[in-house]
Amino acid sequence: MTQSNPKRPLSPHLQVYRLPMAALMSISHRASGMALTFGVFVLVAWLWAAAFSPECFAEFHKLFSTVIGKLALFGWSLAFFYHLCAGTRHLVWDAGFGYAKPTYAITNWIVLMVAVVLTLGFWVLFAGVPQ
Amino acid sequence: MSKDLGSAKHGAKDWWLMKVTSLALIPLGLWLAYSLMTIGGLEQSQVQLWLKNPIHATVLGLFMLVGLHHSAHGVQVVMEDYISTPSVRNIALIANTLAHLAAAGFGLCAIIASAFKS
Repeated sequence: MTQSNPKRPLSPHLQVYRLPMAALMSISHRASGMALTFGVFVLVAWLWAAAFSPECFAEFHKLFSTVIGKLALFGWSLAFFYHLCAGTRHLVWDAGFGYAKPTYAITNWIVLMVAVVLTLGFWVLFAGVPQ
Repeated sequence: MSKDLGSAKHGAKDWWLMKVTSLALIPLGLWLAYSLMTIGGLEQSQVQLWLKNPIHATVLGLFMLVGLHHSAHGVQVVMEDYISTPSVRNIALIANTLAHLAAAGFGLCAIIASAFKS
């Protein structure tokens, strides 16, 4: 194992094998979760600014008005809806359904499509709607 | 490496809480996404006004508690998977827990402050 002798070479895997769809979706679920963790910390900072600091709040507003800022917000929404859909499928699996290979293959694409549709749908329907 | 160590004896509760928080986060997360879409571009005073609504403040507070718990355990699993050196891993796990607790504290405080500010 890497702990006992870090210098021993590892057998190549990611550089060699093409991951199946299920594996790509699994690692995406993990990656989107990490992105959302970062996002929730930013959310807390924004709420803090909203409560206590006009200067910080204005700074947030400025940052999120830039191209990168808007991309980040869109990315977070995509990460959220993907994580939501893939996570719901995990709960369905926990309940015992959907393990058969054809079902599994179909739900891969359902999860992906629903995630994209929800992301786009939310932005189109709700962005900037007055509360 | 893991031979003859026996059962870890804990972890089942963590697994179960992840399932329960996931379930709760389906409605909480959707509500948060909708709310952020609508209040994201508002002025600071308008955001504070939005937080004065008790439902908004309470549900957002619930999201903080449930969401940060879910996030902390999720990151914990990732760290346990990828950090192989025990000393680095333990420090990372401690930092993860503390950071999420801090976020919960700051988040709830900010929500309550906005809800009660005149």
